[in-house]
Amino acid sequence: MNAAAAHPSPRRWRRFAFNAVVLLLAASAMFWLRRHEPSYMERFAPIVVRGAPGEVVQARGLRIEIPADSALATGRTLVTPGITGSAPPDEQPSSGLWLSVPVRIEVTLDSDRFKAFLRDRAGREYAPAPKSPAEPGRPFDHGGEGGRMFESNIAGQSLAPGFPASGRLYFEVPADRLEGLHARFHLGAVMTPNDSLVDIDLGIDRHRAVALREAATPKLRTFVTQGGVL
Amino acid sequence: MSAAGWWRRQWPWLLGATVLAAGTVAWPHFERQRAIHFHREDAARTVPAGAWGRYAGADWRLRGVTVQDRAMLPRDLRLPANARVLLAGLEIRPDQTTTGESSVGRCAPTLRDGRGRGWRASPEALTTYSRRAGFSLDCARPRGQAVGQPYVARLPFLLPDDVSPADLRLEVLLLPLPPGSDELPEAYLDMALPGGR
Repeated sequence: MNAAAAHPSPRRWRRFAFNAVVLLLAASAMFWLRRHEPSYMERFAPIVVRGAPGEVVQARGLRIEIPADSALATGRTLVTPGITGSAPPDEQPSSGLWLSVPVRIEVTLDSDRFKAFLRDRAGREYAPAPKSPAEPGRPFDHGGEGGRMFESNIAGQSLAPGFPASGRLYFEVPADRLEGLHARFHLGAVMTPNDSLVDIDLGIDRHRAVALREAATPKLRTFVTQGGVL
Repeated sequence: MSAAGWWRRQWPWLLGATVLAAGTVAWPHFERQRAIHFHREDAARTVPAGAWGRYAGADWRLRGVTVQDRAMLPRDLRLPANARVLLAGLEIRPDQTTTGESSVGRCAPTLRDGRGRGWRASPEALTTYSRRAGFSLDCARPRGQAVGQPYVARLPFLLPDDVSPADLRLEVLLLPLPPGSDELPEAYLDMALPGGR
């Protein structure tokens, strides 16, 4: 055994220190990358497409407009068609408000249903009232003369390319949650990974929220009649 | 001991490390490309116009697509002004199995135009009319027809009138695939229309 092996030279020490630093750096780089890797939710999160009322929002396979000229409406009780033509309309009173949102929607790729909901500032979500099972345009003889009834509710309607649907969606919202509401839409019953999620700011500020609360009608009807009275 | 000498002595390890590093990047890339290629190209069983195609335990042939005369449709059928009813005749010959025949009833036929827009068969707006006219709601054998014979499913479609029938192709997908089928879940039939693209 010579002296150099028993007492490692400063050069060998330097190389050892260099290798140790390189290893530590590599390990910390791996640790950092692992920590900052996008989560499952981030990788498959929907692609949010934002818009405002009056704009035509184009998302993947979906085109939506909340017309700026047809106003939002509010009511205390939602009145929907009865099960049969002669049954009285159904009434759903709310402890909050029913908010009616006008929508024009079209699918541009595949025939599908769409899902809509409102989202408030706290992240709570509100589903729309379902469309009544009554057939559109069926005879309606309640309330005097016979007529035909057409429902404006388009919640969950099945859509096909080339046939835009226009109508309204009716949401039950707590009266103090109107401010800052966003309407959100996507295709299909559930969201598929990385699909488009349309987010439209309804533009309800403090003054508009107060105005909407004050303008609430006692009865908000989801249908119109033609040739009859109600 | 020079630095150049070290590199020269370590060359097999350095070469190995380089090959490994390149491989870890290239392998997942080509794997992914293969999956994408399958979804784009090989998933579709292309069938020329008028020919029989093989898919999910049955033979399929598109007889033709006819545009229904609007004047012949029932008056109470409330369709959008730009709507046109198309009727596709799909001939099906299911394979004989030990329990009868291969089940192909749960099919999702779609007419697709050159722009990629798709329309599903038997939309809600045509349900009542289909029932009255005796059209099929899916690809199941019409009631009362003897098992073992080929049959025709008459499928109604609702399309806007700006779509030319010559620009259409019919896609057929079974959802879910019949039990015991060796078909890949991504596969579907892509049939040309007589006189179409």
